[in-house]
Amino acid sequence: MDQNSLIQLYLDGNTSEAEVIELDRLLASDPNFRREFRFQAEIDTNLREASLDLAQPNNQILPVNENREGKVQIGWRWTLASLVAIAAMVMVMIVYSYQPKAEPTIAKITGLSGPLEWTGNGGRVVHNLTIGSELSGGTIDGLSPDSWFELEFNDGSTVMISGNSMLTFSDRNQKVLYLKSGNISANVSPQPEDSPMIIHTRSAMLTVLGTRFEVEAGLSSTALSVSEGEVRLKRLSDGQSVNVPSKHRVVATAGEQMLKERMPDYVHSWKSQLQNGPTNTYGKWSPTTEKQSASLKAIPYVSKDRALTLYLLGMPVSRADHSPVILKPRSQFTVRGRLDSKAAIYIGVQVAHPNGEFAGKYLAKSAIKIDGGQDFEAVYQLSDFSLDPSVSHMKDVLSEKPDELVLTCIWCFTNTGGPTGLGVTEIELIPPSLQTPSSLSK
Amino acid sequence: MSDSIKNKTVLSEGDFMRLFVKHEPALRAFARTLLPDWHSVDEALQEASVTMWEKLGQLNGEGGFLPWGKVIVRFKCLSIITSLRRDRFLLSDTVIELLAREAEMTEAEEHMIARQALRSCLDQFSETHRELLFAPYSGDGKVIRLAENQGKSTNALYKMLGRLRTKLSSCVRSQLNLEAL
Repeated sequence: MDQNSLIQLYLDGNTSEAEVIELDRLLASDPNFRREFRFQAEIDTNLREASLDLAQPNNQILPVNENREGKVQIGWRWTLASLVAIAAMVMVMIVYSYQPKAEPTIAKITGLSGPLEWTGNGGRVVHNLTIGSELSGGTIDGLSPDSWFELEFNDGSTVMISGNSMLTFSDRNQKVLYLKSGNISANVSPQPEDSPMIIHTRSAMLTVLGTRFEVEAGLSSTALSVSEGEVRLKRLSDGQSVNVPSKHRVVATAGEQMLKERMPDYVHSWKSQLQNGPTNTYGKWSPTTEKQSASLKAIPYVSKDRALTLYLLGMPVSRADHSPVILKPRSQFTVRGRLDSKAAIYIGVQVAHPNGEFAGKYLAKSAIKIDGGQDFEAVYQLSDFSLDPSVSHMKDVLSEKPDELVLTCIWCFTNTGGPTGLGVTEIELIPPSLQTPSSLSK
Repeated sequence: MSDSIKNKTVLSEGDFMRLFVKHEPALRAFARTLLPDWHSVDEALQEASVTMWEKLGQLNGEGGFLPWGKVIVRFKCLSIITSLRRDRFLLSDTVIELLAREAEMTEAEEHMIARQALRSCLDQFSETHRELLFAPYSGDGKVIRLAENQGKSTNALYKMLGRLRTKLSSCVRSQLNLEAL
């Protein structure tokens, strides 16, 4: 492939990881190539602007002229859009200056756990969220694998995010959500036919009139599982749409057929697939090499009060590529990886009810400290798990054990106050029926 | 009080609007150099415009608007890149830094001339070819629809799009070279 094609491929968002590495190498080493890159980026910008001008009703591309005195004429679309945006900004600032509480609240927090960051209108960033707080539109960002957040709109519709997810929401007579990454599950009250709830992901747009469903948004695909009602999914890459009925799911990926599948029965075993990449994981991901399997290495996680620094890694238990995973009593988790210094390794899981509602977070600790400087394999019995302290305030409504619940997220960490070099190559859930005598004895 | 403070020009809200509208395409092109997709570019510009408005008092005269704006856009871009790195492979920080440093040196007039050159070159294309050049920005599978309407395969149309882009780049390059003479 010639170098200009590589630049164009990157600007179109179609480069593979290897091609980005090659592009990076060329840009780092060749000033002429960097000049060409900037030139192509500027053409891309100006072409897009011209295309947007053409899309306006008068179908006319206006010329750009500026004389030496600095008088400027530009495409009217940008002028209008910018003036409207700035005027709106001025209005917002005036409103903020004189009426700090003028922004209407559209929803309240009904549940939360783990580190979260909320950015409200006007860019206010809030970390100390509490249950019952009322919010106007904004963005909620789950900062670690054990983050969880549930929101109830004024009409009773609920939306929950879990793990490393980022969701922007608004409701100005129509609920509009942007799921940038991660997972949401929702239970939506009937919406007006002319203003259904709209959910945007990077690869799809969902139209919801009232139903219960889950969405998982990856970089290039969106998986939708509908429990009740019907959701319309439109794939952005080609505009193709599909209505997904109750108890069905569909995965929208560019270039692949969108097939409605009957939601399969639950499974009771599961194995991580780190070799497939770091989608929605927390930690430093390394690909498979000749010497080692793909792995996820723990990175620091500082507690909200800054009193605790854990070294933590985590991953979602995706519904995009397999059936929901139910935890059978007497199941066990096996964690394989490497540790640089001796430490106890904790394992945490987040679970949901079969209808997608949050059902708790549970934690177990390795029976002994595991030696460092070598590979390890640690086994945790499900019976060893107990309620995570971060959800102890909900102990009256949560089960004591995660038995018979759906596994949604899993994480591991050490708590020694410093790095331990914890890296995991595989986590496996083994139900009682598949346990061998040797696995039981570990 | 120092002379620099004495001579500081205070810009009004109206000045800000005029300057932002004037330089927005240049700021957008700058962000496009650093960010991998249009969604991120739009996000960076939106956040930067609010910050610029808030920090308008720091700006000393109209002439410094574009370089000042680029610095703010740059920080917004770096912040977005940090969050994008969580789930996608991007250009290295070293390269982003190099691109930013070099792109910050492009002056307002150079951006304006490049825009004029592109508009002028587009006039040399047929309406059908212009429609194809614009199709990737409509974001609703328009290239595929055009292929269907023209009875061609999508692959063939993407190849034609590649050739048209090369032709457009050559035209713009020629125009800029003429301008430089």
